[in-house]
Amino acid sequence: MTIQLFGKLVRLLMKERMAYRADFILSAFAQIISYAGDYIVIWLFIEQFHNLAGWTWPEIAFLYSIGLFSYAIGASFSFVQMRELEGQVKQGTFETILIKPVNPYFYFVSRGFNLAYIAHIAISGSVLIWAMIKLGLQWTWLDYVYLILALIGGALIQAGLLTAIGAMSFIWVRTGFLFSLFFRLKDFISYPLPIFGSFVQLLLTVGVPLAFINFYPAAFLLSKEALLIPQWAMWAVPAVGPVCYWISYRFWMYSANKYQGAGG
Amino acid sequence: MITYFMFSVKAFTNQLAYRAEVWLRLLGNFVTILIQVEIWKAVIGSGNVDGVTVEQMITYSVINTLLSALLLNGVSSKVDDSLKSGGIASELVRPLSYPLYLLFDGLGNSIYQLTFTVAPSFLIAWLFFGILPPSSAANFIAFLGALIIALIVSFLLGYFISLLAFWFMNHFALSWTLNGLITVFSGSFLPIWFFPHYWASLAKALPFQYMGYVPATIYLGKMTGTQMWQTLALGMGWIAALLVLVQWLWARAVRRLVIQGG
Amino acid sequence: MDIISVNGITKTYRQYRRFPGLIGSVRSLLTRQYTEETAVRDISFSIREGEAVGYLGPNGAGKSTMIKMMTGILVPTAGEMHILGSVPHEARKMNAQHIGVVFGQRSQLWWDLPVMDSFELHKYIYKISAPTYQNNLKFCMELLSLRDFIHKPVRQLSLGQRMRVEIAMALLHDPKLLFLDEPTIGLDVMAKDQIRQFLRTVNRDKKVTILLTTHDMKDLEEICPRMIVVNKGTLVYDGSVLKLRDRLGDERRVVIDFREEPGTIEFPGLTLLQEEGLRKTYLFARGESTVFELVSRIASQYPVEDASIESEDIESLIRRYYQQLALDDMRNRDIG
Repeated sequence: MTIQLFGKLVRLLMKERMAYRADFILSAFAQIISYAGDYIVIWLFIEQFHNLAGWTWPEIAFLYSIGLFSYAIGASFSFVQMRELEGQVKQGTFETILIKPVNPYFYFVSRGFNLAYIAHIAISGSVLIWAMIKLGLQWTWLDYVYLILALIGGALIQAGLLTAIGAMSFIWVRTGFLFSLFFRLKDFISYPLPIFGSFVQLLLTVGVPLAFINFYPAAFLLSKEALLIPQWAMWAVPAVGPVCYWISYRFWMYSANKYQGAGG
Repeated sequence: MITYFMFSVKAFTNQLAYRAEVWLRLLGNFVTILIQVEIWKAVIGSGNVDGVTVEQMITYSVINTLLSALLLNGVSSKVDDSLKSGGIASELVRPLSYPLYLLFDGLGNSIYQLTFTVAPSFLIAWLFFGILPPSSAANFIAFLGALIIALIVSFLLGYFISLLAFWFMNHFALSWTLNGLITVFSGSFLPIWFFPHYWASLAKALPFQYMGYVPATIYLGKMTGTQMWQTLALGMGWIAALLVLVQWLWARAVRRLVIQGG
Repeated sequence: MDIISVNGITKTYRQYRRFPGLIGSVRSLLTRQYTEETAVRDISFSIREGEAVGYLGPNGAGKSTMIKMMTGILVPTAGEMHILGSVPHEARKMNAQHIGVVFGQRSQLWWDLPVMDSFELHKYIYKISAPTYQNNLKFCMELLSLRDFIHKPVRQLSLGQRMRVEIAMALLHDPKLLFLDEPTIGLDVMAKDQIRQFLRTVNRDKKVTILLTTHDMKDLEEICPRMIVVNKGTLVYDGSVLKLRDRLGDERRVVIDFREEPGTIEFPGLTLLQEEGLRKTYLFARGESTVFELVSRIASQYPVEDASIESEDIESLIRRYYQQLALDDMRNRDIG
């Protein structure tokens, strides 16, 4: 898997999308409406209750947007690919990847690289910038670097978890429900972590590390209380993503090998 | 009628074939309810806000989470599949009503969900979080009526979307838009009584409230007497209006399909 | 040099059971059972560089499984296998560079884009140098007449056109070895013919070793001098078409037009197949006498207008072979 090959793939994927331009734009628009719905509900909620665990509307908008923005990046390399892996394994179309002289994982995720997440990026990026302006942050350049690293780390955590679920296709075959469970769990991080009991906080920190996607980075950047992680360790938060992703990648490759042994 | 009933039985048994999913679904529902419970505990605490207690909000959340497992707006993806595969033509030549087939297929799923996820989830939620009883016998009866209205409205909206897809050919965009509208205006997370005035009147002018807010509010007794029966009557009105709309669209869709040969 | 050597390869699959009916569904919520199925059983053969071999057998004989193992997609349960000198699933990426694969029913093309785009991507995936790419592209374009549709989106191509494109793509990176899984399935006669001619040229001029699975005996006759026959996972024949004919007994079909009704003709090895008035078709199994002796004997005894001798075509030969295998199978079962 080389940069040139990835570039070629992206060019072809864009060309493919542009064959159905109107459809693409309509779909992007609908996704923006749908996510606007999510933002509106939270906004309506804060209108009534003023804050949630001490987090105001722009702060929650900041938190939610980091989650959505990093999801868009991570999912463009994983979600649809992994969701469809089950069907591809069943029908045997996955095998055509194994006859190519490339790393099957990287080829597979790049082949399905999903440009449609541009809608998620547009809405979450806009709200993120709006919230940062509204909050009047006095940031040094280090804070901006931290934010970018946190977004990448968050993307890697989500891509990693989706990849791990997708890998189950090689073993278990039906993965649809694991994906919907993932999205249910992801709902936790639409809200500040401290409103949940300590079991949930622990679960989202060491079990399924969703809190590292947006809560810890946002709490650090907005100087909020983060309970489980001491202040000095906050700098290490963006490193959770690469570790999580690497483990999932190994697991995916291991499962793919196992599938080669067991057969379709 | 027996034929349609058999579609329900078939949809039910199809679902049964997968075991791990039953457990995962229960876990998923538990998570969704837990999130809402914690949020309401955080903002209401032991007192009340506008006369609403945290126990009432917990019950509200449980009803809404479980109701969403029963709703039938998913029918649209089924129509979309057969539209894309071209199977729609063979569905149409069968000697039975396609919409009725869809309805009973969806109901089979709902009955499955009721037995295997909603009932056990209800029990779990009751044990962990506590659920209030219905506020009165009349309200409970009205609640059951509201549930049926919720199912029919959700079916008609999903069916409406799938018919629109005959022209737009983009079911994806239509269903995402519908979901966005349902998220806000069904009041399934934030009850309409907490909406600012303008948003509340908007929500009450739309049919989405019947898919969450109305049944839960009736159950809790936040809506009683004439207002309650009026709301239900209005719901029937929405059903009638949507029925006329989908019948008209259906006739035109079939004609379109015949002309274009699928 | 052996480009493929397969030694005692076995592959078993696990198949999970699902219980039928409503009660069965509830049961599968609780338990999970599986059965093991052997798709390939103790198969050995080797193929030299430059050969063209047909791999055939009835449905479910384990043909695709064998190709998947040779391309490194699946790992054998037991046995040894070397392709291009290495173990396929271990050297999968390295071997892929020198192997072309065409799956008849699994397209590797980009549905909504012009054919050319799929080719270009292939060039990047296999890191093909510009001159090699240009040469091979020209070679395939001419011999498979791709020029008319190379700039059309794949979805607009006919099945025959698509298959030609798939085969061309599999050859762009100069593979030493070409696997084809049912390359002519579902195609019309013209398309089949063109593909067969092309594969013959590729095998003869480019010295590409070809192994193809097929149901179509014509593919064999025109491309592959050697065939390997498998049945229920086991290798049952490996050799030339001629030898198989020998082994099954040399049967000929004799058609005789009589001038008047001859009645029953008694002759060792002769059976009447078909009667259309005075034209009678016989099957003759060669025994002590030759088919010429037969015909001249009949001509001397009966009024014969005309006679023709047809040797059995490969298709009915194979069919007869399968029938015999099934018969053997039944006998073995009776004894065991």
